[in-house]
Amino acid sequence: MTSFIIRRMLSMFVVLIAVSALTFFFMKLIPGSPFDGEKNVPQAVIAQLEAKYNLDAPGWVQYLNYMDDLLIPRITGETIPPTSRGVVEDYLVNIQIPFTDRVVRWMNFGPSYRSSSRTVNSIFKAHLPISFQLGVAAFTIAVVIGIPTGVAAALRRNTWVDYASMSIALLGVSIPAIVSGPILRYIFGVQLQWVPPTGWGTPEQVILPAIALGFGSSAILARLTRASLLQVMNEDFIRTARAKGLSERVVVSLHALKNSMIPVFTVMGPMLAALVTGTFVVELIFGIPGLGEYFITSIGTRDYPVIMGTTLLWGTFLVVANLLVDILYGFLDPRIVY
Amino acid sequence: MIKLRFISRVALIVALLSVFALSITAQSEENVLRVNWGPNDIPSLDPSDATDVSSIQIIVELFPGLTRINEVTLENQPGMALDWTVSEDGLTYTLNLIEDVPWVKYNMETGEVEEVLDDDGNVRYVTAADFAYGMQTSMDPRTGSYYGGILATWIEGGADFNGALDGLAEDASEEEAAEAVAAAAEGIAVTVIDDYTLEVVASQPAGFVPQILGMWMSTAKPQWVEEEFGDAWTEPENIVSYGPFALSEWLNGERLTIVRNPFWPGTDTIPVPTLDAVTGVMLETSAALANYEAGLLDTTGVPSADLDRVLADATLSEEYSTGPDTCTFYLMFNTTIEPTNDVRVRQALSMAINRQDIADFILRPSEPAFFFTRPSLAAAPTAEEYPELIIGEDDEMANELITSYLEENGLSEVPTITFMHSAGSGTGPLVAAAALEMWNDALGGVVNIDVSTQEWAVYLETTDFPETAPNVWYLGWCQDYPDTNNFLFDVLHSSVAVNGSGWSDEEFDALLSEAQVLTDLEEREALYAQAEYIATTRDAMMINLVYDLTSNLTKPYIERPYGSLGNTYYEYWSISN
Repeated sequence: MTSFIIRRMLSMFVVLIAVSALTFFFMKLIPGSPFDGEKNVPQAVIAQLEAKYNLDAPGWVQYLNYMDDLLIPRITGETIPPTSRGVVEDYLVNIQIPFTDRVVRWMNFGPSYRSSSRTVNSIFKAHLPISFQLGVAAFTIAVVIGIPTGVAAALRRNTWVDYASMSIALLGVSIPAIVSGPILRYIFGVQLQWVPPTGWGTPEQVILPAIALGFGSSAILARLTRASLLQVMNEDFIRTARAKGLSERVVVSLHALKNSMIPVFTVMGPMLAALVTGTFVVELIFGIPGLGEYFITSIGTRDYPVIMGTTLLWGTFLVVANLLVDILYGFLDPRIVY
Repeated sequence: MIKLRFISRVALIVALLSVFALSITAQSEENVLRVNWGPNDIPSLDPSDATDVSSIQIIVELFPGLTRINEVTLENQPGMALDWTVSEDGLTYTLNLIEDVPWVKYNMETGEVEEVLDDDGNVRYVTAADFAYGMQTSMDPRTGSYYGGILATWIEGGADFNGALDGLAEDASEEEAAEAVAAAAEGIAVTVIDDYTLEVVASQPAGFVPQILGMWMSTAKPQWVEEEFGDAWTEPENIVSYGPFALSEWLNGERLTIVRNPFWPGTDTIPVPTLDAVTGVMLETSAALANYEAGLLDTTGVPSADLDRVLADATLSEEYSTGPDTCTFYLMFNTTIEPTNDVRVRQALSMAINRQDIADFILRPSEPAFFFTRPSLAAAPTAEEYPELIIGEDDEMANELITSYLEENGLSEVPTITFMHSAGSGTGPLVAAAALEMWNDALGGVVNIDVSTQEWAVYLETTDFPETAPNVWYLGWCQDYPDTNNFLFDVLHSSVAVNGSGWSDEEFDALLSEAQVLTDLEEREALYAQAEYIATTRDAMMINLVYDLTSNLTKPYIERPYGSLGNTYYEYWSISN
């Protein structure tokens, strides 16, 4: 298992390098510069701003500089002054070397072009925890509602339990958060005033956005669980188990459930990765200062370091989530051995 | 026993719920105004960089300018400059600054605003040198400031300074750039006479130069802080300011709070605030409205989708206010490609638009526009005063023009007109649909349009050049300073205009250049009326649709000015309990 994990982590690293190169390439293809605005600034001035951020170098040089800042640790003094053009340098990992005043620094994702006083690292530190909390809450709702509903629907197939839960699941999949969000906000936040309509920080502010976000995911999980469990229940080994005289409860919980979870877990991995890195629409509707906004607005404003940073962040969560799911397979299906 | 326990449990739950409800709905108990700055985080608190409304709103409270425009009367008034004199030739301004205004900083540990001390332990005061530094930084070509470019055109030597890098080779090094800039900086006609006297020589004698000197890109900046922290100087732990409010809290993307600065001396035009603080969230407008209705905000804008509901509601309609805002929305023509290269087609299309319908149904709330310049601006001609100069709405005349065009070219239909709006625009598709309907109703179905969209940044680039621009596109222009020059000259004069119309006119340019340097408002207005006639009626290079209106809700316990400046001044707001 350990060598499997090590091999996987190496290939994850290669995948992320490929993601960074592709993203960088496509990002540079988009017409428009970060410094063109609605207000027309003379070309010479734009050239100066681009020089400030080293955007006048050839594309491959810019890419190598970016990866160098990101991956190669460096040693500096106790404080880092801004560059001669005022650009702030900010590192995620800062380790003081004992008995000296030198610090090892690693992982500089770069400055934000749009908000020049901030860096991508400061954006991550400020907003990722919030998106993460919302994502985990929504994921919990999705799992806690979705999977048991799917199991119940499969076991009581073609009864009212099945029809009702699958109809609700259809609603969940069909109604997007941009519709359910404002409705929930208006009913519970404005009319009934049971919870604050927007914002983040207190437990009651988690409820509405987690429901708006989690309900759709729970519907996906419910339908998938039902389909998967139905398929497993028709397998020969289940008939064998029943023939052996095992009770239905044992048959389902011990034999059928674990095997039916493989496709469900496959979906849950990327689902968790997507939820914890931030969702634009729900965060906008409920005024949650998460990371979702930065994924979208950075493209419109051509904020290259933020585009690269958010894409790499999502990529990292995705490959880690997939690794965890693969490891979980080993526990679900004894035939899978690493 | 059980019954009692049950009742007491229920009572406890009810009590808890009502505490919840009370805490959510209670009006702010302290003297703190709760506003919404706008969606997304504030991009920049650096006066040189800011271009958007929410940044500027906060900057003018932290760094008041030399002069200030009254948001209600739109008159220019003293700000940090108590008074100023102008030389006979109208070029040299000598401004006398308020004395003893300290730089302050909010101390996060103690929660108090403190004066900034220099290395010797003396209080640092705002001086003329700080204003000179602020102006120079804004005009520095390496800062890349749009408004700095505007300031530079109005200061003697500023244009050369702002263009100091134009002649440099593309691969010029940082040192070479710095040398070129330093050399040109010598020519900037901003002189520090003494600590509280600043002399500025304008590049031309224009009556609105004091307004430009009072805008945010011309304010004082703390040189020592910017040099120490670079771009991060505006972060809450670093920033220093001097205005009636100071920055106390900035949770990115969530909340920004400014507190009263106890060291602000108060002047006639910038009084000491009565509010203790202004705290703002960063929500998109429909989320802000939800908060307002739940009692968590004291004032908010109203999204047009909710306008009908608000006006029909008994309570909300009382709290609603509307007034002139700052923008004109228009359609512009590409005069170099068919069929909009023919003035008859352009005039016919302009005459066939029913602007009142657009104002009532499409772009709400707004009012019809015939001239490009908003009517409340200094020296602005209005449709009421010059009815013979506006293009008017006349279906018959429009038909005649189109028929004449079709006959001359042997066509039965007008060639397809390409119409563009930006992809994210909510109103763009509505304007396109309304225009097509109006054009076909009036002109007998001979007009075809082909609507396409582009992403905002790409759209701006496409519509900037006649080689790429479509026949018609939809845009708006919002004022920077309330003078007609900002609309007609800054947008349409051929020396600065960047648009896809491919249109220019010598007489138009000459009228604007002449009006720019006159000081008599009536004389200027007469010239501007002629210019508007040329652009929007005789040559019909654009169709002005509407002037937008503000759309706000304010709680009844708030006393506030209702201005039309784009930003407001919180020193004039108060909460009456």
